Amino acid sequence: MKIKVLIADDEKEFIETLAQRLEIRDFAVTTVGSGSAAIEIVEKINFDVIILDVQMPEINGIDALKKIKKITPLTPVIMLTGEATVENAIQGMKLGAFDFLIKPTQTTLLAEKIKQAHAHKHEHEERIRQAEIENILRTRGW
Amino acid sequence: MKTRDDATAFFGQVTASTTHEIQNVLAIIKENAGLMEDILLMNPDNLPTLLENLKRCIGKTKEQAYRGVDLTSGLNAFAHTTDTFLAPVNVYEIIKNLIFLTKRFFLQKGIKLALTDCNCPPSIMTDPVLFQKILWMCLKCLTETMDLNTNIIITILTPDTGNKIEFRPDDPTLDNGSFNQRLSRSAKWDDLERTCKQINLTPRLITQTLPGISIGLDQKS
Repeated sequence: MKIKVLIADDEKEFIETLAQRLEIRDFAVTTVGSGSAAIEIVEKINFDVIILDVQMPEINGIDALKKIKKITPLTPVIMLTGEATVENAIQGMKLGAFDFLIKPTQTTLLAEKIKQAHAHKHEHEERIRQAEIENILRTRGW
Repeated sequence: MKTRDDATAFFGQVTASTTHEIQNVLAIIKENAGLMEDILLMNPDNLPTLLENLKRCIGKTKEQAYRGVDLTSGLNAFAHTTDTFLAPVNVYEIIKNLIFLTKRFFLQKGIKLALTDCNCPPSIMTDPVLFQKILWMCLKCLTETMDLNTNIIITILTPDTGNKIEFRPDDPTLDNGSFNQRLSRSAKWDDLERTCKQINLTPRLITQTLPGISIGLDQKS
């Protein structure tokens, strides 16, 4: 099954081309042009990995990250930024971002990060499932 | 000796906004070049599809190259305004360029800037850096007083119609009186008055009942 990726960036031409390149690499990509649109769609659709640009109008990537983490805490978020500032990276990572990439990034590197993030999410979900099963078995005395 | 220290932050913000846009342009060009590589690797035998896809990528790349040229030309013109302390300034052109370069900065706050057409733009002899700094301060003064997501309309009134620049928030629901009161009592307003004084300009409220800032272009020494 294809990895479902959401990309949020206000630079329409950029995300359209990036989406095409990721689709060629067998990802299922959805694009939105703002932080608020990202929050809105995350409430309705379950994505495997989310990519957020830091600088977006109204709700920026960092604020969007905070809200997305409340809606779907297990979904890994990769932050993209045009500024090579360590502050943004630290803030994003502190808020639970999976990783941080500086734009323009290599598509192969981004694709690799998406796969890593997806594998991480899968492992995490598997651990939670395992813990739940063990808990059920324990409470029933099996 | 006059120094540019007080203008550093202003120059930094304008340059940061513009270079961010330039980085976006380069990122799009880079992605399109990458997409062309992907397309060539994917279906080298299907010539019509290949040509169609490549044509689309080339079109997008050219479009972005033009956007990049406009941005660098604008930034270059902006940088050259530091060349002299006194120069003739075409009021319409200098505002147009500043809006173009700072579009992204204000869009981040959900604000669009609109400059109304001016058939016979006035020209004044002034310090171009301080003049732009005043324009910038007017915009920031308004954006910090008004609600986010309100647009700003900038109008240049020629010598026949008033010889001034007006900055108005485009919000019909605004309580004009209280808005103007907040505007003229803000700390930014004091800074604006001080900077205007340096090149013999005076900021005023458009009127007591119409919201916004007016900068008269009749320089009183």
